[in-house]
Amino acid sequence: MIVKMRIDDRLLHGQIAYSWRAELAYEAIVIASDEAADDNIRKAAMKMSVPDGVRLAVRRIEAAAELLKNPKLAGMKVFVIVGKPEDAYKLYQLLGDRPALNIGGMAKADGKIAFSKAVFTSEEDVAYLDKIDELGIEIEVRQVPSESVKKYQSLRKKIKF
Amino acid sequence: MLKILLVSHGRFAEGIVSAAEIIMGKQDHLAFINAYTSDVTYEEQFAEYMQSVDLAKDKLIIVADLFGGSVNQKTMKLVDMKEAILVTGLCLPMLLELLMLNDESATLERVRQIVETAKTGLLVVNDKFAEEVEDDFDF
Repeated sequence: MIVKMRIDDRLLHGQIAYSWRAELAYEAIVIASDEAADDNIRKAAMKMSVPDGVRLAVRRIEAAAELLKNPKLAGMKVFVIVGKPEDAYKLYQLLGDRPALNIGGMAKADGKIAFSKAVFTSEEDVAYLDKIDELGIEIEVRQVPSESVKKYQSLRKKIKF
Repeated sequence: MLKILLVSHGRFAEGIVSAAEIIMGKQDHLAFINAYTSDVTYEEQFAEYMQSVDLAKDKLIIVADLFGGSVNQKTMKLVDMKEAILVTGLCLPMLLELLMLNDESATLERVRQIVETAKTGLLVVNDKFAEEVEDDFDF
């Protein structure tokens, strides 16, 4: 059972792993990212930031969807992390179920505008997030659980390209 | 409730609380003693902290920086091992796991496991990156 899906372009690091563990009591982390699945150094770094007793899988998006649909994961609380809105949308299409989405962090880059303090989006990113929103998925924006929840839809109104 | 006290030579204990709170947020049950940083003796600092603890109701975990150091040696004299859990080798991998404990889960056995796991956080990164990373799911 997926307890939450998160978009974070850094994928997994200590702050995320520990603060959300305390909030969600997840038992496994599945990272769905074509780039990270092919990057052994990045996988090694993420492996080191996983809390004790938590299982980690870093897989390409399609393989991650297959894993997440495996009945063996039905009784397990799983935290899913993707690197960008496009990947989140792809994964929702492959999954069938509709876990809530958390937008955690997306770094500043050329062509991206500030969506919130820690989230910078391109026009393409927002287009994918809109599509996810249209699927009826609850979308919130916050880095760590101790922050107050901001709803995607209310922040979205202020964004124009 | 569970209380965690960190004790160190100098400001290490205070510094690691700052690091842990950046990662985990404010931790109301976490306290520190920076030993040898003022005229107040460690024994006095420790006694003052213990006024905030009720060992009849609270569980107490104390983490010292160095097993052979004077701070730990003094702590061993000041605390009854039947009433508190004392650990040495304070480091962030250990502290983050300890902060996930609650009143119920803070057993001696669980603390032992955390200490063992924390040791895996001490490593030469060069070696780690040479290894192939395995998935924790075999399906």
